[in-house]
Amino acid sequence: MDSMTLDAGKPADPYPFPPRQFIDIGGLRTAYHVEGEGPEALVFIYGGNFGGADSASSAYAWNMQVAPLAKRFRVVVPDKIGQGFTDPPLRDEDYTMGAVVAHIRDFLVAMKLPPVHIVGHSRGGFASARLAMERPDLVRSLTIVTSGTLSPGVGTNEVVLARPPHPPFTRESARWVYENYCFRKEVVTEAWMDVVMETLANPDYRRGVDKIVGEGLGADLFLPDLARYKRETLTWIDEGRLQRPTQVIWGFNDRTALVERGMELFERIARHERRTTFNVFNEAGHFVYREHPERFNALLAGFVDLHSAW
Amino acid sequence: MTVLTPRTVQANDLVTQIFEGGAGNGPAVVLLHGGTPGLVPYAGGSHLWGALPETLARTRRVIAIDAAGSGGTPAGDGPLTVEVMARHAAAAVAAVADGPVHLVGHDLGGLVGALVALDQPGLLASLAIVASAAAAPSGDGVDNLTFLGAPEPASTRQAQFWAFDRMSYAHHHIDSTLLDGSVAAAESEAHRAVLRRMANPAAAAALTGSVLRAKFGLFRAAREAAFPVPTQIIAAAEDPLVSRDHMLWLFRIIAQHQSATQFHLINRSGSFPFREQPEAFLHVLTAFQDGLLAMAA
Repeated sequence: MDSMTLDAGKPADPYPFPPRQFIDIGGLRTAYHVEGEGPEALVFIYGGNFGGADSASSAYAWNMQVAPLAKRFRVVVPDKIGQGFTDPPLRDEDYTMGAVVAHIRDFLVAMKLPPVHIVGHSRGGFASARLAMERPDLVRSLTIVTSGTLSPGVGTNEVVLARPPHPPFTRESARWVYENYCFRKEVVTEAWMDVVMETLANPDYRRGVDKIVGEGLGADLFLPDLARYKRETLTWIDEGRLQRPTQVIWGFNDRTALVERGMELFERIARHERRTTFNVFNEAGHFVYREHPERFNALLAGFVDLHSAW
Repeated sequence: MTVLTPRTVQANDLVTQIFEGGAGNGPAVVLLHGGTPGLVPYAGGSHLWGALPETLARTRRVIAIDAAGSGGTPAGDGPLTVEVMARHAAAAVAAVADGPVHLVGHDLGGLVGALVALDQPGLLASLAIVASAAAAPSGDGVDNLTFLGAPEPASTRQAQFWAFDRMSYAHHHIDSTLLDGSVAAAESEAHRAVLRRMANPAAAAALTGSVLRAKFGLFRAAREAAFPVPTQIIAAAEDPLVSRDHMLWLFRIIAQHQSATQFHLINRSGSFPFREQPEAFLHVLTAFQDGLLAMAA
């Protein structure tokens, strides 16, 4: 049934988002969205990390991908541990990127998905690449979208977004953050900000913020641990452990991860994996897939077709 | 596999050799090869595209054009310049297409394609500039020694192999079909006539001078106003003739005012990414075209 018949007079949402579902992953109530059928499964991993107070990522970030790609593929979008509407870690020592990767791994296994085409953005690009190396049996292809977290070199996220001029947990703060991420302010829609505000108001999400900001686990644990983890992960790439087709996608106008960061990442991966491409979109900031959804989706669908099961 | 059909069309008073085939939704794809006599030692012609036209023809209409002065198309009587080649290419596109086309230009064909886009944007749905030292900024670069010590005469099978080998990441794509086509192109009347002409230093200077003039015209136009059509830049990571940084700069130039600009870098390929990594090349080429179609829907 199309939404025109449900709500006559109102234009149909071109990107209807499937309802939130839950699954237990290691004692954590884990939120996810799923749509579409097909032998090939796409899994989207968004960016950010638990405990963000100025803005908040959630599965909705991919709403422009789900409906169009679900016409041909099974599309799955989980909320990461402590983000969106998934429970935060049970133990303080799990406020790490390693715990994020382990949670995604356990989610893929619990969902009984065939080897997936994993698409990771920003910090999610790091987690996706790490997973592709730790558990290649779970991953058929890897798409990394503007990931300053994974790229060697100087990421400028903390520079561009340092200390927003609005109080934490406010719509103004979230809007300021996303407008600075994006090339065009108009792509920061009210619908998107509604979901961000809903996430920021979620008590489970706020428990993560209390840990990361209030108790200082961000500065004391998450960031130093991520630095060690990144060193090891880049070493793994240099050793040739990334054994899956990889496309790196970058926004030319992303001030938080300049295009040179993408080129550096391509060079390190391409040395060992022939099936690597680097792709840059003009007039796109950090959220390439929200600024140019049609061309992004076409590039992704073609990549999945190229690297489908034989 | 779809086999392309050769025929000739009249374009700017030149009896022009084309190869066509396939059908599908969306605009036709028109291929403009590189390899201009006197500028590079390999012999240009539609044979350079290898399996790409047939592969594209499975899902869309494809037309490969022999450029003025290459393969089966004569150069005409006047001086051969990039502008002449662009006017000829535009006329050929107009003669064969029933609507705007996706124009794909390799090497000098990329610069020719850019001039067609600037002069007659209505003919194009998009432009792809592939591995094009001619179109990319040269940036006071150092001498390129790729063709140093080229064997003579250039028209032999051995000399053609040598040139392709020098331009490639790996030589495995240099098959007998390519060499047969290159030797035939090198021995064609069009090619030999242009070479005879290029023996005159003034004629050679007119051609090389036109490359710079066309390139600077492109840079100026892209600086002052939006480059008129959606454009993708497809670079090869190991192209000995033009570095990935040069090609990324070409992207930056077009991207100044053209929103729909994309850059793609193909791994483990020399100057012929569509031959050395055909699957990856086909993916990025058709994804751009499909994405534009989705935007228009």
